[in-house]
Amino acid sequence: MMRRGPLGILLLMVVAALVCFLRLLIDRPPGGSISLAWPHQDWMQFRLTAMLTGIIVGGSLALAGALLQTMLRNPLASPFILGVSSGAGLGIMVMAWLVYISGSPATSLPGQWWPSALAGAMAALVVVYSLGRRSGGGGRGWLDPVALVLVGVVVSTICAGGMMFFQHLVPTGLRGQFTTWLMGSIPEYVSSWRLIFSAALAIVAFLYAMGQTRRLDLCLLSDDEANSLGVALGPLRIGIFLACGVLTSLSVSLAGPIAFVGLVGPHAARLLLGARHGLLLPGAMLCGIILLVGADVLRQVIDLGGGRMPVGVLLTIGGGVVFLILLRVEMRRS
Amino acid sequence: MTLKLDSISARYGTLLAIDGFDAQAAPGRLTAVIGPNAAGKSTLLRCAAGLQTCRGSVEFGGLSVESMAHRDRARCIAWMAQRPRSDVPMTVHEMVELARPRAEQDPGRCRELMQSLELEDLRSRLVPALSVGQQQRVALARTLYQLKSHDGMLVLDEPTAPMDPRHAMLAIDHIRDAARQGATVLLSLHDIGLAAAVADDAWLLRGGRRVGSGPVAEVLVPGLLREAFGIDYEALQRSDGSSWLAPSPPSHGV
Repeated sequence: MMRRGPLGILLLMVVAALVCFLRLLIDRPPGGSISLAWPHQDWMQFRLTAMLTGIIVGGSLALAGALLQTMLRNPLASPFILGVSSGAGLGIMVMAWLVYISGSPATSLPGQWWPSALAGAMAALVVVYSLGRRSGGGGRGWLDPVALVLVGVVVSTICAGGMMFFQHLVPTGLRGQFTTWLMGSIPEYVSSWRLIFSAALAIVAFLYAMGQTRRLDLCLLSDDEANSLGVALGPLRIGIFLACGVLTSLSVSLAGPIAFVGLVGPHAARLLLGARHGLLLPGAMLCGIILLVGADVLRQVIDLGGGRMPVGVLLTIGGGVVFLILLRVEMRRS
Repeated sequence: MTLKLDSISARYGTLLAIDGFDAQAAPGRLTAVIGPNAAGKSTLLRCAAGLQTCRGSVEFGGLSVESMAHRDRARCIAWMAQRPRSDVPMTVHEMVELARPRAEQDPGRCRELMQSLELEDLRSRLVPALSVGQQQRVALARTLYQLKSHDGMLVLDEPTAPMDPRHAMLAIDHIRDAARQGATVLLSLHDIGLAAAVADDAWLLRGGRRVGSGPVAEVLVPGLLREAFGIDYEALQRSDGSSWLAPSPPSHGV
């Protein structure tokens, strides 16, 4: 396939801008038809918040997916499949329960507990990485792609079970707030400081990753080859995994566990721009933005009679199909 | 610069892969590492390149290889894997360029290497789409491009194994050229005849231990080869008067 390089980035930027603009304009009142119009001032803030949240979450998840796929040398890796999103979700649910039993007033949930989401995400990543690694002696362990995914699925299932367990322990009113969040939904109201804080974290993680692009390129080779070409793998892994934990936890605390974006965003960018990380990382972020904000636009169009479908549900169905296709390709290749 | 291995030992769990190996490789000379399967050749090369933790000391140019910073080591020691990773979705040109950071790129040298290793026509092809032999040439080009100066070290693990004879000789020419220009070259080979023909020195191993080391004429001799491989070798005379080592045909109960 012809790679478009910097032109491809420009193309993605244009598409992302169009999708974001569409998110601001699209409107469908309950029982009414779809229209495209500049929103009334009262509604503008909500649409702008949803669009900005979509940009931060979509870009962060796709960037985390691209970094995980490179560091684990696994095309099936993504924050959702490896249980990192569920780990972050479990961190938030544990904190919600602790706040509840301590008798403190639980205010706007669940985004304020980002640090506990980070702790959960990092714990899940460490478990998956440790158990997915086969020992080869003499420090020559290797990552088994299939074992890694299997461990990720199991960790994800355990964390999802844990989330349901802690959800069950909190009172019904609080439980209801978590139900929509657990499905993965883009909120239309988020405080400005949280948006700024999340965007700042995502930018710092992006800039860190962009400073490592040559090392990341070399990580596509074997450990020994990367090492002989000057990469100190240990510190790089810690830095990149920490960046992935930050990106995933900020996304989960804003919009809940969302599938598909972290898996397909990097693949789409790789097809368009190639494997070099200087273009791949910004390209993956743009693809993630297009996917998530695009899905948020699409859900405005779908009317099933019971209110709008959470964006996470739409993406989980689509993501499941794409994951099966990628798994089939990977099994044929190996 | 000289490579000095002093009493090095390396383990994989309980398996002792290298057992107290001592040897030196001199600059400007090509040293062949020879031995049967599982003799420890690859482990020895990984120790020499600073990629494997081992006991004893490995020094290159008087500096401990293990204590060198990764970046400094990459500038003076280039290692080529026996089976380089070949599923990386990059073009041939991108793969060769990977050897050096952006600030140290030398497009002229890169082009020259790609042309001389007959990769120029493949420069825009993706590496996974190439044959195994072509992928091996790409890895060799990257390894040769990695060394910026002539006083570095090349550590090559069976670099010619999947290549056809013509490209194998082309690769050997490049490796010999690097040695002639002053590099210290360490390469493992299974073809004893080829090793005897192209190498200056040889290290002969069996079971992680040294059977012999020194100039090829003293090491690759039927007695030591029998000790290492358990079979007889004989020197065949060629029409130009030179000799070629080949395993003796098995004697079926004669």
